[in-house]
Amino acid sequence: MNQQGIQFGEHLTPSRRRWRIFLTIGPGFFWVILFLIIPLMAIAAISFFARGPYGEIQPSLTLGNYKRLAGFGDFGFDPLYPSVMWRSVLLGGGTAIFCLGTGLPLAFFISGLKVRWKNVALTLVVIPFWTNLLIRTYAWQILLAPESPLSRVAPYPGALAVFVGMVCDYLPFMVLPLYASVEKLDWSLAEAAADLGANGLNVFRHAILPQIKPGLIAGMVLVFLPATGQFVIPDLLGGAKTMLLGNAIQQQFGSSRDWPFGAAIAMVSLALMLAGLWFLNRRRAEPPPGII
Amino acid sequence: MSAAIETQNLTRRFGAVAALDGVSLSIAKGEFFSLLGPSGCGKTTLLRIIAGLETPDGGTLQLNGNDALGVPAHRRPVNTVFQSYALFPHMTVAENVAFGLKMKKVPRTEIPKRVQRVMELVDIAGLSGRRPSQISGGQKQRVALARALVNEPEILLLDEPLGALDLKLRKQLQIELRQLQRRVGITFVYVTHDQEEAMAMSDRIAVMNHGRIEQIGPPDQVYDRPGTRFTAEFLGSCNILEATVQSRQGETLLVKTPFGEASVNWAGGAGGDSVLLTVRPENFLLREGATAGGGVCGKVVSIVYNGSQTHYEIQVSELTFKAVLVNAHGVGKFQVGDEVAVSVPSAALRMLQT
Repeated sequence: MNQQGIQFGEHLTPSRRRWRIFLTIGPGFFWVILFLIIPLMAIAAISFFARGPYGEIQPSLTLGNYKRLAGFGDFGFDPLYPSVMWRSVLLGGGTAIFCLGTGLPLAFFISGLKVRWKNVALTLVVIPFWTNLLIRTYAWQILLAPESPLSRVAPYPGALAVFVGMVCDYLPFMVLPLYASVEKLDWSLAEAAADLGANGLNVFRHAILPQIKPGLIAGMVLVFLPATGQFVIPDLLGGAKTMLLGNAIQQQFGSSRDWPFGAAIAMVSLALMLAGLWFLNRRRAEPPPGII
Repeated sequence: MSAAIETQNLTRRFGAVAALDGVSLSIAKGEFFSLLGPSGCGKTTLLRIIAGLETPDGGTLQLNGNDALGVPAHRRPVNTVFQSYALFPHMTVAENVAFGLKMKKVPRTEIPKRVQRVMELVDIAGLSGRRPSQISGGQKQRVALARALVNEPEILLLDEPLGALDLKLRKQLQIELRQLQRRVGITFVYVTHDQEEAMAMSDRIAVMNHGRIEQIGPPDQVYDRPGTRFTAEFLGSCNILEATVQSRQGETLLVKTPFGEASVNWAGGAGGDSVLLTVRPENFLLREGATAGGGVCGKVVSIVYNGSQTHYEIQVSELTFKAVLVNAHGVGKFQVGDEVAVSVPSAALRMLQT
């Protein structure tokens, strides 16, 4: 311990310290309690209730909503909702992977530019945010409509349109964290790896990838989580032929007036995403596989 | 037998600056060769070209008699100890050391044995499980060395490997490195800006300045027979004397110096030329008082006592010279203001190329 140095806040009396803690984190804390934790607990509770004949919530405990979601409804097995979940994860995962595939080279490209052009390039990356999501998506709808030349030659025009729209919307969330870690790259490690006999692929795997991993994980999380819940873009560009988690939830809380089932879908998608996050973080904390 | 490293006319430009300006040298197998020069003289660029991390604009490079310029870094029989060590922070010490063997697809059963052996060789056997962030600078240096040596390269390049360490550790590692090099018999190319370090360790030194090689030779030769003013001034301290050639007698020139006439061996020059001579401070002879025994009259201007030696500044007419005397028993000591007789044996005078 530093003898001369004064710890931050050490000169405060205990009561003033408590006040300061309250004033600094208090507002945020109460905001989260009031508008996140309490509603979330309410949703969690509702998901175990039943729907009345007129769409009201009946406070009788049941696991029926979760069973239905798992495919075991009142009329036997029906894979509708499992496939909704699977499709959503596929959409989120696919978007994340396409964003990574395009964002990683872009991040390296931008980081190699001169300072002036870096700022220009980063602004260009963020520019789509300046336009409303719906306007952008409608624009893509015109370009990627079934009659458009591109859609005529593409093997899966619908999937293509959806992923083009999704990647366009989520790319900045991938590029910015990736760029931040590429910018900090210690290239001498890449040189050391090459010097020790690593070819291009191994240099990337052993000397570059470990360094950009935090940015990569952050980008994956930032893209995968919201993309999994996204339904506006797939509906507008994919033709609204299939259901996703997002519109399933919307439908249950809206037109179907089945709040308990909607709450159950929301809870399960939350659990899915938390599981994904936990998995990524667990992998990061673990030391790399030993070679000796 | 071909040389370990042979370069012809290597040139590398960064914009308008020539980092290397026509470097030709030949380094023998098993030699401890130092590239010595001030920062920006091109020594690191030369090292990086040998390693394959930099491409020259012109010239040729041969490693063991084979053209190396088209060969990528990972296929050259060369390993490097980087100035910043460049240890992989996400790997343990043992994994760092094993990296090169893993890349070369050495059988998995053999890797631990070789790693263990080299870690014992550089005295870090106890560190295998640690991360680079958990060890000291001196230990990092040893890990970087082990990581390169484990590959048994034909040539080891060292880029100011001791630059970040404190003086005492540095001196110790200098000796260890030199002994290690003798034991493993690998060609070492050692980049440093520290002339004492280069002289203490090397078989031969190349003194570099502004992307050119000023002089190549064994340490004693480079120190004792500097060819250029830069070499003379960069290695140790020296006095530069302006002199005039009186006449030529066969192989020797008779020159007039501030300390009287002297004859030196020199091929070029004729009567009437102005030349530069250098003399090392330890070659001055200082005697008390009168100039009856030869030499010229000087005056002690300043004294710096240095334990084993004393450094004097002596004024002779308008000029000031540096002289060093060993503080041994029986060697005269002087005070500021003392009148001394200064002389230089003409064998200690060196002509410089102008």
